[in-house]
Amino acid sequence: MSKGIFTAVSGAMAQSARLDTVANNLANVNTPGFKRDSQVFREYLTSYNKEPGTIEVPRVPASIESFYAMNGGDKSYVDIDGTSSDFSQGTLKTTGNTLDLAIEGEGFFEVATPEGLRFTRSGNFSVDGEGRLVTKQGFPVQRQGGGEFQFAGADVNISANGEVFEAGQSLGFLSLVTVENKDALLKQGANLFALKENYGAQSEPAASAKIHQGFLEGSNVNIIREMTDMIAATRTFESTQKAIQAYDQMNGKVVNEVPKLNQG
Amino acid sequence: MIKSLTTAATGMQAQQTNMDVIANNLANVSTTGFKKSRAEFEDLMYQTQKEPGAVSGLNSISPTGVQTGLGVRTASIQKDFEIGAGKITKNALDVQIEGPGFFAVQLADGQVGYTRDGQFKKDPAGRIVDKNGNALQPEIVIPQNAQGVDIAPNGQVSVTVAGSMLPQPIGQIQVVNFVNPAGLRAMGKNIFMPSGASGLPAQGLPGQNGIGELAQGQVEASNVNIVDEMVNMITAQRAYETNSKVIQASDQMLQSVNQLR
Repeated sequence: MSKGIFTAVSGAMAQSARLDTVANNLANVNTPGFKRDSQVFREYLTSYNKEPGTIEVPRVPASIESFYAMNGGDKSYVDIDGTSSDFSQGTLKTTGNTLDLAIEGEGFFEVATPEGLRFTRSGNFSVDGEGRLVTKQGFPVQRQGGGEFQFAGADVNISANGEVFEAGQSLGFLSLVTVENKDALLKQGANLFALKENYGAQSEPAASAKIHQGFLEGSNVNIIREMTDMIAATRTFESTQKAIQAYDQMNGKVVNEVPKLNQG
Repeated sequence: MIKSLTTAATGMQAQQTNMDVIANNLANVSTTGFKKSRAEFEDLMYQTQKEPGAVSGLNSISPTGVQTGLGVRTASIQKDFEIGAGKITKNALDVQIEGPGFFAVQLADGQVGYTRDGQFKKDPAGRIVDKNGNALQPEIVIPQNAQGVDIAPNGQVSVTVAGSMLPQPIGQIQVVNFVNPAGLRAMGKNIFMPSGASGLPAQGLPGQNGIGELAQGQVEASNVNIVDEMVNMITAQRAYETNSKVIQASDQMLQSVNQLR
């Protein structure tokens, strides 16, 4: 049996993962503050799995002899290298709601969840029964320097630099933070981001963030791009299927034709 | 593979909900005191195939990890309590609250409901009632010999009686406010009920503590904006179509798998 068939299978699996991501992007095309994901692929050599002593990856121009020493380390597969989110700005949509806030530029709102502080760009906030400013899941939105916003029920105004006023009285600033390395952010669902533990990254105040009251940031998914990606994924998937079929036919020849030659 | 099928299905369901909400808004475009709703979405959980920082080779670690999102869900359907435009009717018992606040009415089951629909009527006993016969709370009875009813901006109700020069005060309309009106539960028939999210009803007088003043002879039109709803409808329908394309693409991939043998 030729091992190459598994290379084609790895290609098919990669394209299937790519379609899963496209499907998630498209499902969230109307989710406020959603950031599109993409999967990054890489070549994966089986020789990476072997001990350095067992196998020598040829460092000289390859010859037939050099491959004999590889003990099956010559196969390369495709592997998903990582998922990266695209943090580009989504379009601002006007809603006219006092508690709909959109961030222009880099930055996140900080919210306190039972698991700790989380970040979000989805600014469709509301006031809960106790008068606190909360997200749709009921997590309080944080004030700069810690603490929550408590409203008494009067008119709320929020300035472009994030200062919150109720009936003309300042209640403090919204806590707007950013992370230097965006790769350190982990999506948690419910429009929330957390910091990846092994990065040691720290959030810092977002100086350039600008708040627009009465607006929501739309999802940054571009349908045209996703559809093109989807077509590419399905067609590449079909090509890998052809490769699998070709390997199958080769194996068929080995099983059925070669013995006949021997008899003849 | 199956993942993208179900992910796209969550997308279609979400857009379906979006469409249902838009349809209800448009159906109530001329309902007095109607408040439009908005469906809000959030991304579902993420499946982690490879933890960030996992060892990916002899000397390398995966810097970002591999995560696949599993779709979308409806986070909430929020009422928007933006004040609707006033519509002049010249009807003496049509009252609009020109600002935040609700009228309290006694429902048939004895509970108190809250409404912004100020198209009041008189019942046979002379009480001020809403369109469904629920009496305004506290009850105000208009005497039989009353010739005209006057409702002041502060809620004072007075009547002119034949033979008397001065209007006679007969009661005071009270207005109730909530900390978070968006948390109220809509019961239909323009009635809202308090919930854990809305906070407790706070009694007040019109024009005080941020509650709106009353305006007689006009009603509050629905706050649905047709242009907004139409634009939302187009986006919802197209997003629905796009998600159905993903299902087709997944189906095509499964089909080519099945043709392998």
